[in-house]
Parts: sequence; structure tokens; C-alpha cells
Amino acid sequence: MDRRNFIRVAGLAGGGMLLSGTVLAQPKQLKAILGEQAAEEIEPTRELAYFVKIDADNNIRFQLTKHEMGQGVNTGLAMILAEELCADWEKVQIEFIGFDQRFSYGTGGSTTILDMWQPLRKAGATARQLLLQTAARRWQTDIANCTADKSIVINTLTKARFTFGELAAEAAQLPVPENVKLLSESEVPLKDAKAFQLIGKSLKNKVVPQMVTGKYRYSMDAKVEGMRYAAVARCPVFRGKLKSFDASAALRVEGVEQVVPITGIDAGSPGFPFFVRDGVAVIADSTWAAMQGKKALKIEWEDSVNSQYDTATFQAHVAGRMDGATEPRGVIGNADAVAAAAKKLTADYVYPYQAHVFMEPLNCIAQHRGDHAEVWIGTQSPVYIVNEVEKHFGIAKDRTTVHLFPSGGGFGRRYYPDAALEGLLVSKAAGNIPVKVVWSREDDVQTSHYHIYYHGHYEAGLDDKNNLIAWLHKEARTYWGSVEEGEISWNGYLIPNKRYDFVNMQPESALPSCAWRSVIANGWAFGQECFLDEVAHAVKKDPLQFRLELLREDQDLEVHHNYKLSTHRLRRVLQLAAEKANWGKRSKAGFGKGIAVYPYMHGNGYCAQVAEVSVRNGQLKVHKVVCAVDCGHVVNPDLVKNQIEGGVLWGMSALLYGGVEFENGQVLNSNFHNNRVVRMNEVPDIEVYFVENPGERPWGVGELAPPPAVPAIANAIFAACGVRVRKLPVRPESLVDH
Amino acid sequence: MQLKLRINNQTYEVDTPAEMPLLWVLRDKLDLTGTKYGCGMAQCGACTVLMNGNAVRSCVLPVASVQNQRITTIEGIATDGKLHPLQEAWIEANVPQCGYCQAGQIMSAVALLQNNAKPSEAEIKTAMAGNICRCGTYQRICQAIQQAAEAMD
Repeated sequence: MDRRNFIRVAGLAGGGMLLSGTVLAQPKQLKAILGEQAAEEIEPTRELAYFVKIDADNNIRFQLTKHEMGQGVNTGLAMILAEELCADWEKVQIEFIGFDQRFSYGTGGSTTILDMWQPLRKAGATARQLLLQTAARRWQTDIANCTADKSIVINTLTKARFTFGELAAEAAQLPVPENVKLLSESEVPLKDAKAFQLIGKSLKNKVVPQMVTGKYRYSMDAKVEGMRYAAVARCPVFRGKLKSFDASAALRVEGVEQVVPITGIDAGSPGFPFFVRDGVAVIADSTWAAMQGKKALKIEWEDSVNSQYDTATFQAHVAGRMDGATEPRGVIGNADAVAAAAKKLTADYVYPYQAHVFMEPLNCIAQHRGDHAEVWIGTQSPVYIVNEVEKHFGIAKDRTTVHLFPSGGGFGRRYYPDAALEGLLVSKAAGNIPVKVVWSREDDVQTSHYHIYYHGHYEAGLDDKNNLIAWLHKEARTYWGSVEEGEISWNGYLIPNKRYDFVNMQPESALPSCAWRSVIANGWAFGQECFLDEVAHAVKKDPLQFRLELLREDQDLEVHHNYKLSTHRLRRVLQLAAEKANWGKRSKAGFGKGIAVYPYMHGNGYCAQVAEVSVRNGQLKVHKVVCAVDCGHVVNPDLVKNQIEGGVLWGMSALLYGGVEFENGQVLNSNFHNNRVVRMNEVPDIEVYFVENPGERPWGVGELAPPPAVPAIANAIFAACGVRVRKLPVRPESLVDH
Repeated sequence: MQLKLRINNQTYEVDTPAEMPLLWVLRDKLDLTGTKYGCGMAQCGACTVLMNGNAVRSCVLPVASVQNQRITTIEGIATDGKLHPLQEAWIEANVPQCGYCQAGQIMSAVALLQNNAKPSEAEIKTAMAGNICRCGTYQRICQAIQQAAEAMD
């Protein structure tokens, strides 16, 4: 029997129906993102699940089994279900539930909507069918005379009506049609897209009212009986060790109760590691007292290999490792075509370490209870937590309870269990008491995990007619160190010879790296789209025209991924962005436009952006960014626009201000004054346009906008003043004479 | 130190170190967790509350200094169950993504509109520049403030 995509109904105590089901997350998808070994370790054959309650009072509770971190999945997912169910949207409530160990709640890679689209539609349609059957039986009429709309079933002949709530308990007793359980076959019709009443509309995000009244609870707001507060002084150098500490002054701070050391953990898997650092924890009766106590600690740390690095020497180290000869991982055409080309261009691009600095610093409440454990946390992957707790504390998975919360930003960082593991270490050291560990902003900036340090080396080969015939991309990066044979970066241009080489810098990373929104696509898009502009400039072609010529044929390219890379989809977003941005219109003196396009393959979405900037008197101003998005069927246009707008600013922050600096292995940035992000008074006008995709399913958007934003703006800077940005962040002194 | 605090038209008595910032008194002692910690050094605005109608960053405000001042937090701007026009506008414009910075944004906006009932876009951007949104909802914040200003006219 096919275990996949099971739909179940059951009665609820107090009347009503529980509609639930499971979906086997496409293992190949997860593997494409995480690598085979990591995927198996983190989410081994765990199914996704959904739970919906149709109550006797006719309200509908959509129980969220994914992490809400600002993408709006709570509402997007509920809309899909409510559409096919024919529910009254006003009656749909979002419920945040605890972690059901049987399933995966893993959220990331821009896959939530695309994974749940079909299963939720089937589930909604099935429940609708059961409600119609129940009404038909009560009215002793043919089911063809019954229609469902806005949580009511109507008898079209007699105009009699039942609410869903009145029917739900009885409907829950009906057998789910056998063949509905299988994704590939169904007796239950799904709506035609033309009949959608909810999907495609910009419905309001259901959790916003709680947010604007201060009622929305993050784990930072949680309290537990008997809880103490903890602040941890973590080793400032990656892989360093605690040597000794003097807690006497800390213990004299009012409110401080204990000071305990913790020993770090090397966790995760070889291709996907993460770390808890050695540290000293101050336990107190308030967050403030814990923070003050931490300031009074005197600690000696042992150096590590990373103590030798500062920003410049690490950059040089990576550049040196790039110099060695490498064999290609992926090749299209001839691997030596660049070397043999009549003309060559070359450039190097660096996208350095970045901090996430989401607004809710990491935190958790944790209690180690000997043979079981309890954690309260906002996490992108509770299953990763229970797996790692079992590995490192010997507590069986089903003996770790994870209480879930939405978060004040995940962006990949909250996928990792390090904060939870550290919380349990502190709890255990403090005598198995519940402790709330709060990371200060300084902790977050200085002792976290960081976006990949990326060095991309590019070479282009031209023939004697200036056609771009060969492309070499060689990459050194400090994360996702295992690259399979045949892998190639996401270059969708029709260049007959392409080569991708890889240098694994993960073992030598000066700072621990992890996923940071859009991950590898950031460096890839920056280097590719800026270098392509350099080539266009060298052959005196307009950047848009140059790209369109390289995308002139419809082809679906193999890039060693679940999905093929479509030249057609690249071309369409390019043309839409260029049209809406008035690309052909000449800019005034000191102004310039730049264009870039990139797919986000894990979500199978495409985005092109045209940025307009000015550089005058050495001052850079980003005036406008026009985005064209192909994300398939748009479930909620306004929620998607919010993601794209935010993603543009995410990229812009990295371009203008990003880059973590370090000295003797210690991060120098500490807070928002020296780890800046774009503020309200610097925001460009951002416009978002969608490519029409009739009949298409939805694709992912969370990580779609940051990668092309950086090269679009960088290319605009070149157009405005002739300065090439090859390393982030833009150095203001480089613009001084412009 | 025993202190009497006047918050959202209610009187609270707390026993706390005099130098504990108001932010942590609100959050840890009074369970008013709508006001958020984001940076601890008045750089991000997530901790913004009103003191006698003026926007202040509660993370750097020692609690002893606010005794007998009128403090308003996000929990206190709706009146008799009716949302403040800014809260309505925030919902209407679908402003938040993760939502964590938004209480601070709204409190700064309340103060802005109290001082300037019809701010220009440039005035809004300047007044709100102290509130960081990492998710990037700035365009919508600006729009919501303009909408609320209209509604309050």
C-alpha cells in the first residue's frame, strides 16, 4: 500500500472533525539542499503533516506544523486548505501547536508552499466531499443537489442549509474514499483555478492582529515555573577552549545565583556541521542580572587555529587556496575551452561572512531532567533538535519535548539546534533547573554562525567575433563542503562550454558557517551577474541585450538539481523587469541602472531586478528597485510582495554594510552601530511584478530576492560612475571621486 | 528598591535594582512582554515605549528614573478594546513579517503623529530611522503611518 499522502478524518471530543494527513517530503528535494548524508541524518523519511479542526461551532482551526518566521506561511497554507474546503475565511483561525514527534516540521529552502500545495488541496477537497455526502444523506437527496460555500452546505433544490459545524462530527465517521489517499488518483475533484475565491487574493496575514497588540508570543516572551535566567560568555574564537575563569565578582552582582562552565559540542554531520562553543554561564533571577553578572566575569581562553586570522589574512588565505589547480566538478562542453579561447577576461568576486542579526536574538528555555529533556524555542527544525539531543545527551528522541514558538526571524540560523543544546548544557550544569538563555545582541553578532565566506573566480572565453563561448566558475566557500560529481552552479545562459570547480574551505573556516537566507545563491548570483556585466561591457553590448541573446532559445538545462533551469523563465522575468523599469531610457548624469537575474532552484522560482542608483559627491543612493518574479501560481500576492521587498533590502544591507570583520579570530562587529543594516531613511522604492503562469503550481519565494538584488545594485553603481564592486561591502572611499 | 510605576494608567509596585532598565522590569517583572529586546543600546528601537507621550528607548532607561512618569506600552494604546488607528493601519497594510520589531515601530509612530499630525514621507522616514526592521517592511510602515494620519484627521 502506498503510505504517502494519507488523509484521515476523526471525530473530536465535543463534536466536530479532525482532518489530518501526511506527506512524504520529497527526499530528493531535501538532498539537493542539504546533501545526501545530512538529509538522512536530519530528516530521515519524516513525513510532513497537517492538522485541521472543524469545530461544532463552525470555526476552523488550522494547526500550524511549519515554522512561522515572517514568511506568512501560517496564512498561505491555511488559504490553500480553506479554498478547497470551501470554508468561510473569516472563520479560519491559526493555532500554534506543539511538536508532534512523528512528523517533520522542518521549514527552510523556500519549500513550504510548494510541498504542501497539492496535499492541502486534496485534504480540503476530501473534507468538503464528506460534508456534502453527510448533508445529502440527511436531506435524502442526491449529492449533486448539494453545494458548499463559506462553511455552509446548501440544498440547491430546497434552499435548506447546514453549517460545516453541524455536519462535521457525522462526516468524520464516513470512510475517506480509498483512492483519495493516493496523490496520483482522486475521485474528489479539485477546483479549477478560475473558481478560486481565496487563492490569488491578498488576504490579510491572520497573525498580524496579535503582533500589533503585543500579544504574539515568541520564545523570548515565554516563562516557565521555577525558571532562572542565564547569560553565557562564549569563547570569542571559533574552536577555542575555556582555560580558566574567576566568578567572584560575578557572584557579587545582585540577582546572580550561580556561575557554571559548559563544554562545547561539535555537532551535526561532516557536510553539515554546527557548533556549541565552550562558555561560562551566569544564572540569575532576571535577564538583566545575568547580563550584568556576565560582564563581571574574568575568563581566560585558549587560542585555536583560528586565532591567527584577521579579515585580511583570511581573505588572502582563501585566495591562496584558490590558486591551486583543481579538477572540474561539472562540465558542459569542453573543460578547457576558456584556456583555448581567442580572448579571455577574468575577475574575482568576494561575498564575505555575514551576520543574520534578525531582530529576536537567539534564546531558549531548557530543562535537562536526567532521562528526559524539555525545550521552549522558536526553531526551523524541532526534529533536528531531538536528534542531536539524543546524540549528545543520550536522551531518547521521544523523551525530549519541544515547545514551539514563532520567531522574530529565522533566515536559516534557527534551523540549527545549537541554542537548544547549549540551553540543556547550562540547565544540566546548574542542577537540572529550567533556564532561559538569552543571547545578547553582542553574543549574536560575535559568537554565532555566519553566512558562507565566498570567493568566486570567473573566467570568460570569447571567440574572435566576441561571442561568449566559454565560462569558468571556480568557487571557494566555507560551508556545504561536499559537492557531488556533476554539480554545476546555476548559470542559465546558453554558453556552449561551462565549467565549475570547487575548493572546500569548510574545514578551514575562521568562523563557523551555516545557512543564511539564500545560502550559496548569494555568492553565485553576485559573481555571475556582475562578471557577465563586465563581459557585456568589454564587448560593448547593452547588459540586457547581451543576456537576452544568451537566452534566445528555450532550453531546460540540467544543473544537477531536482528541477531544470529554464532559459524561458529567465528571459521572461528579465523582459518584464526591463519593461517596468524603462530600461532603455537613458539615465541622467550621476545616475545609472543595473540589471540581474537569478533562479532560486530549491524553490524553483526566478527573479530579475533592475536597480537605479545615483553616485554624486561620493554619496551612493539607491533610488528604485524593480523586481519581476516568476513563482508560479501566486497564492497571496501581497504576502509574496512583502517577501520580495524584504529580500531586496536583505541583499542591499549586505552590499552596503555587510561583512563581519575579525582580528585574532575574534569578531570586531558587536551591535547595530557597527554591524549596520538598511534603515527606513535609506529605502529605495521597490516595485514587484508577477509573470503570469496560468495553470502552474506555486513555487517558493522566501529566498528568491536577495541573490539578484546585490548584482543589480552593483551593476547600477558601475553604470552610474564606472566603479566596479567586486567585494562586499561597497567601500565609501571607492566612490569618493565620483 | 521598592518602586511605584505608572504604566498604561495602572499603578505597579515592583522591587528591583534601581539601575535595571525599564525594558527588563516590563518584561521580567511585570509580564508586559510586548516591548522587545533587540540590542540593549538604543540602536534598534524594538524597546520603544512612551514616557509622558514621548518616544523613549526603554533598554537604556534605568527604572528608578521613570518613577511617577506616565509610561505607555504597546499593551496600552488600544482604548476600551478599540484598536489605535495605527494598529488598524498596520493590519490594513499587512505590514509585519516576523513582527518582532513592530511594537517598537508602532510606539515610535504614535509619538510621531502626536507631534506632527500630517508628516511628509521624508519626515516619516527621518522620525522612524531609529527603528530597525530586518525583514524589510519599511515601505509598508511608511504607508501605514500615512494611512493612519489620514484616518486620524
